[in-house]
Amino acid sequence: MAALPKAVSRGGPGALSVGVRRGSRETLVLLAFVLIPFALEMFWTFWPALNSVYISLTQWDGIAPPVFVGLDNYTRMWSDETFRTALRNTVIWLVLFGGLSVLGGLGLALLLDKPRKGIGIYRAIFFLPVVFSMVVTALVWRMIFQPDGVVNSLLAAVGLEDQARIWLGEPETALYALIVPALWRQVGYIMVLFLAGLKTVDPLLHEAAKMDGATAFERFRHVTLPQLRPITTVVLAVTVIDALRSFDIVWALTKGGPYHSSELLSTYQFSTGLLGSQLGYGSALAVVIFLLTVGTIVVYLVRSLREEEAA
Amino acid sequence: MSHPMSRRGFLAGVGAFGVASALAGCATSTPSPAAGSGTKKSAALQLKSRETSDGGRKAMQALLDEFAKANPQYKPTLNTMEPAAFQQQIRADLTLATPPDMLTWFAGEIASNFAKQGLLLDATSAFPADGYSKQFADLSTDAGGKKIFVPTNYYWWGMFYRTSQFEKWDVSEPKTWDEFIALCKTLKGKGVSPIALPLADSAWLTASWFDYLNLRINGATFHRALLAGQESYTDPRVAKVLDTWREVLPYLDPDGKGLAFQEGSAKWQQGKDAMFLAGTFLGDATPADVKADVNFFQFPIIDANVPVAEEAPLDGFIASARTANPEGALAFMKYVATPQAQELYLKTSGSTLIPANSNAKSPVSTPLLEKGRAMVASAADVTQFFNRDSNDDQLNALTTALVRFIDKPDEAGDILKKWQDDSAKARGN
Repeated sequence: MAALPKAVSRGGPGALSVGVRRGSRETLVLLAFVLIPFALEMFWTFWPALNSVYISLTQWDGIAPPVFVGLDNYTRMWSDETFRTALRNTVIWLVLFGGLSVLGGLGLALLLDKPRKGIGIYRAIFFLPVVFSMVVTALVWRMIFQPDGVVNSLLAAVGLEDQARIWLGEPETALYALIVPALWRQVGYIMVLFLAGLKTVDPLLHEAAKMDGATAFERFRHVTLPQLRPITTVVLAVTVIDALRSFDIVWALTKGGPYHSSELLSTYQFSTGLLGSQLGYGSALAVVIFLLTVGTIVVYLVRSLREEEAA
Repeated sequence: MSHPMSRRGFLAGVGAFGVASALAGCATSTPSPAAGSGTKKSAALQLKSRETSDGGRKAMQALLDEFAKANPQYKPTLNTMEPAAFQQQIRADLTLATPPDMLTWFAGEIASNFAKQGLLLDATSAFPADGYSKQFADLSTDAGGKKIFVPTNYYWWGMFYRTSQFEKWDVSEPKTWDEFIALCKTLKGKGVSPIALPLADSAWLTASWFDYLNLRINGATFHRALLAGQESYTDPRVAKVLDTWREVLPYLDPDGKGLAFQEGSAKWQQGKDAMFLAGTFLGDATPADVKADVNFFQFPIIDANVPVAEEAPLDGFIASARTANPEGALAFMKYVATPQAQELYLKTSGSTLIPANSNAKSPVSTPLLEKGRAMVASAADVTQFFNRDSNDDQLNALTTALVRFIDKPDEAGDILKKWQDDSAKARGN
């Protein structure tokens, strides 16, 4: 606020000639185009984010004045067993959900790329889960995983009754049972991204490679994949972000339970910071999630940029 | 070349942004109570309610309509919010500079904690001298002796069963813990799953078992001290609670951990599970033809020397200390404390609740309701429920511990240690 009067006097009338003023006017408009979106972004995104960094250094229940505690919230994490479980689960989630959805999406895209009869129907079927709201998806999968639901009935039908279990209610299986519906949805999404990418692959290169006697795998490895690189960057960024912000399916099905066994950092952050009243600790968890996301993506981007430069 | 954007406009925009961000700088500070409310009298009154059921909403509106009829100078409005969101936002609501004037809330630590922070309006002048039992009046009072809560109705917890099913199985209500265990054994022998405890979306139900076992074994005084953090969960008395509960674990429906509350209560309703430790909301969810068949018995007595305490969660209203219209809010609080208002509410909502003012009559008196009222009235002490007597962070620590205990009862010692650790950490914020 204190800087404002200065700004007014600097642009004050009489100080500038008419010609210069017209020029400065344009500059001002241009500046406005840059500054206003920047200001909005600052106000709605960066400022709250910075605030939560500050809150993460305090002990605050949302009512009484916050008490500054330095890095206490961060050191508390290392002695917090639930945090360690949530961190481990988030890494498992990132690897399994991220890895399988990229592989599955790419595989489906390759299968469904060539035009043939009824291909649109197949693509639509795999894309359909993306259209469902996550809550609906959760309801459907809750029924599938129920003690006397589809999975257990199928197991019983093929004589594997002893393998039947309460998938979402047992700590050993809950996390993996949650990855399945999340994948079910994500694979279709990744497939569409790769389908778009495959359209940019030059068919002439394939023909030339075929003439030179390259096998199907060699053509995939040395012709298709390199040309998919730009879309792969997008897919990986999207996947990392989606994996780390996964929340809805977990919250809707297990709320991180039973006893934190399917807890992710996102659900743990929600239940401590928002449902509970530990805003300081919750914010510290949010900061960790942020660093993880940015860190993973930056590492990947730097690597792929370097590769591009080298190429 | 014309530029529709003037420099002045632009600078004004920057200025406005500066002001806005300066305000946002207060994200962690709470505004001081609205000053000068006396100079400008406000007619508007906002009631924020968490009653989202059809009956509950209609009943709240009926209360406001009747109130406005008697007090035409006020213009009350109803703002209903889904309970989980309501609960999550109430701390923000109470610290707003222009808060909702009245809010639905609960008695217990959950209310007195707000009072301690100076967020609640002193409702002593609205609290009737006559009509409330001493227990209910005490539960409405903060540490400084001010009334901060006006209770309107309550419900009770018990072991719910269906009369026709008990007849079919030829069993009767147990009084003591040993009889209860024997009953579970008999039922299991007949191929019936004795106890429902759906955990998929309602792990908080485990708190009812803990509350009751602790109340029956160690009494209400210890229970309160434990919840307040004055006693430790590693205390041998708490270990005894888990030991006792362990006797029941084989009789819990093993499918429970995969069932949501809706599915669990449906199973109980169909007679596939015999008993369900729950509040009266369990019966409210049953179809009309089943309602008359719903019955309950008191949680069995474990130690006859421990004074009997029951869980009777009290619902009612609080008013914000920052309201722009304290006279209006107090007038409303005074109105909802009257027997007429409480009867009107219960008649419109149709829920199995008992009016908190003992001068009020239940508009639809059923044998079930009278049985519940008598049980609470004869209790030596009344508690609210685990998270109403503490807070949601503590409830979180409890569910983690108890759901694990159901799965791995052999790890009781480790579970209690971790529970104490979680509880202390959450208390330290």
